[in-house]
Amino acid sequence: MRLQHDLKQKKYNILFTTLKGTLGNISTKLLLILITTLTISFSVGQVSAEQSIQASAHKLKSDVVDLNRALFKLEEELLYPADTQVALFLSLKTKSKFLLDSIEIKIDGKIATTYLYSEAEIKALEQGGIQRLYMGNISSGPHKLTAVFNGQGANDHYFRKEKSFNFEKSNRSKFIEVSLSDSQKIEPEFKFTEWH
Amino acid sequence: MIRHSLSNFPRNLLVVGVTFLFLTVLMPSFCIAKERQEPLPAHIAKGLMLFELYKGDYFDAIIRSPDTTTEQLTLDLAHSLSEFGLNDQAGQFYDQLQSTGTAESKSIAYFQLGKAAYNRGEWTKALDWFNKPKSQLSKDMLSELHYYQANAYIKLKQYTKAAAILGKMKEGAWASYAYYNLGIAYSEIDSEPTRAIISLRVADALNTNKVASLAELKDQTLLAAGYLSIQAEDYEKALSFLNQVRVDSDLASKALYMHGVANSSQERYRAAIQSWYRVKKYPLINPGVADAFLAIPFAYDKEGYSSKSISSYLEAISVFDKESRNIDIIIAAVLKNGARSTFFGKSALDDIEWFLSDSIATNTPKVAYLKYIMSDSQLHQLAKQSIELAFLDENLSLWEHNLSVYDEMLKQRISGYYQRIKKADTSSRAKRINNISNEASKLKISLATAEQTQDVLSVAAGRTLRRLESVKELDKTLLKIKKDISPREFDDLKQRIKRLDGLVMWEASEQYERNLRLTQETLRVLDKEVERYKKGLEKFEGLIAKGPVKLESFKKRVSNFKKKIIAKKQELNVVRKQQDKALTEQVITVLQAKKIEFVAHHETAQQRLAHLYEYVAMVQHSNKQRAANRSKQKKASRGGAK
Repeated sequence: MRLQHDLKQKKYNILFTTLKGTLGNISTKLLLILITTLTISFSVGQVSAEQSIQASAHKLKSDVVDLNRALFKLEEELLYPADTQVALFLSLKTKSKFLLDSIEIKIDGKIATTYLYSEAEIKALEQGGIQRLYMGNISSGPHKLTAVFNGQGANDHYFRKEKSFNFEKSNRSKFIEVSLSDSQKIEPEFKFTEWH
Repeated sequence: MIRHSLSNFPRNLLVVGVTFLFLTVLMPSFCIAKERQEPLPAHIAKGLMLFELYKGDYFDAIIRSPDTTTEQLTLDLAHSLSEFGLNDQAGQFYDQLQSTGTAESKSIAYFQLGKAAYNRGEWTKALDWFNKPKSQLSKDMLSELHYYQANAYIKLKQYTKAAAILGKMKEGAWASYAYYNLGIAYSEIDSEPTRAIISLRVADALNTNKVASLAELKDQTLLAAGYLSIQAEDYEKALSFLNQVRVDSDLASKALYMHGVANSSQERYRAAIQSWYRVKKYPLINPGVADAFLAIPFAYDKEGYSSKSISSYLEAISVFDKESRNIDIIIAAVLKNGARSTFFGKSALDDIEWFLSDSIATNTPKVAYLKYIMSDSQLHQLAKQSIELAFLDENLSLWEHNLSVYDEMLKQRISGYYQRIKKADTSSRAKRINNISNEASKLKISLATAEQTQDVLSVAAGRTLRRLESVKELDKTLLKIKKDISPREFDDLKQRIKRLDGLVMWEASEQYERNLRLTQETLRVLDKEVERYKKGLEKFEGLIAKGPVKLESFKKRVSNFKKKIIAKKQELNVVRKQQDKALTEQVITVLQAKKIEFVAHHETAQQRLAHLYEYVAMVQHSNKQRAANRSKQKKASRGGAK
């Protein structure tokens, strides 16, 4: 702050000396008024331009948010119609007893998605966030979902656990929640819940 | 005829069945699908938003926020909006909560509204919100509230009230920042820095130093404390503060320079020179580096090393000169390409031959300049805004691309639809169904005739008819072998064949009633099916006549969104240009100020060098004179002795 103040002072001194030399006859008071007026008008112009940019940027942000909300809905309707839509979600109900490292999801034996977690993502899940692991399309009828969890359980025990879940796809959207929760054992409990 | 028609009956039914299958398989793909997107279960919708919010992706949190809202969700959404910079929208939610929410929500709303007022520079209004009764605020939020409350009092120059609030705070980032601000505020008003130094020491003690930002704050606190101690002429204390600043800190160059100042103030010039030599390794734009270049020759001069002092001044002059030219190059590049592309993209700055080839800084001088520019608060805000606008541009470009892909996909699907309609050839299907219908009518007439004439064979089962055919074959065979067998044998066989014929006819007459009923029933079913197929075909034709409604509706929506995105991008480009102009102007102002500083340093070095030359010349002159006087005296004394 102080350094900047000194700098400004130096700038004004140089400017003032130069102007004083050039316009020797003009009284110092008049010169000061002129400089002050110029500075104020320049600053006011700059501030109003910045405010206008700020207002435009604000409006654009708001519009882009609205557009994105509508576009995500359109995209979902277009790419994942209800009669073929399947979505998988992951929730974590744990008190840091285990650390999820990665997850692999297979549908009917084919890999649908794999995910490697960052610390921030694990924290977000622990705080009550739910991650959309996968969204895709499958045909009506019976299907098999397999989830492979890799992580570190209690006592630094490394685990790799595979769990399967059979479900029936109807003409309605199929939502499946995979939840991990604390258990009495070293490894966490895995649960699948179907919605629709 | 009747027999033939009725015997063809199963084949006709097969044709009708195949047509039916065709219709049932084909139709759904053309039909307007009645399926609708299912809403997500409420807890999943909420969880998806929270996942983004807790990750710090506020934009995605807003996008994912569910339509149905609870008080907690409103708070979360308002928080996301505020973090994303949509303060007005966030303010509306907080306003609503502060009047209708629960005690906890009200407390949060008061605090957030106060923070918004604080950010607008409305200190008194901010304090009005901060001072409203609060309950159930989380520990973290309470610390943040105290920080803002104390700062607002500092801004209003009510230091005692600020200090009283700080007294309530516990160890942590907010407390450390708050005490630092108080220390700086004291240093600006006090002629004697003790109070400021104490505040800074408390700031340092409360700093847990756990994350990078706190380590930086610690460096800043120590540097400020060192600076104030030097002002108070307490050099040892200053050195103890400055020694703790990390060598890889952005403030290391300034701390080393101040370290040298503390030493030189105690006339320990050698130690000072050592510190300042270390400063020389940093980019010249860094705080304290230019000062060190001027301080080194001064210290050499004080130590009596005039020649070293001269060479150091010459080095400083050359460095300042070169850096001024570098700034000119940067200003030219910024003027030509704009600040955004000069500093954030590949630019002419990358090719500048910097004087610090042996820089110990882990980053490039371009980064050093960027850091210097970013230390200007106004520029920092503009740069932040520039990054936000770039993010919006990226987002819109991505959607533009995706929508183009969807548009093309839908175009192909719609054209595919018409091709499939062409292949479906519904008129020929209708013709075939009509043929089947005609055949069924003929069969009905034949059946009615058979019923009237009591023609038992018309409705006889296939097995009975086959048996009758076999009996006739036997009779024909018997006629062929008549001449080869005896008349008795012939008569015997003829009788047996006649009996067989009678048996078959008896079987047919026995089953006549049953067979008649079955045929009538089959024809009724056929009638019904034909009618159903006809209706199905009519419905199908009705549907395809309307065209691919859903696909067309999707295409229309996609096209509309694409237009909106393109328009928004154009709007954004205009704002980005204005913003880049403002950023460029501010960058140039800052750079020109820095150039003036370097020019001033350059002039100072030249003046000091001139004085030094003058002094050295005078000393040499006086030495010469003294030597000449001495030799004169010697000569005179020798002459006297002789």
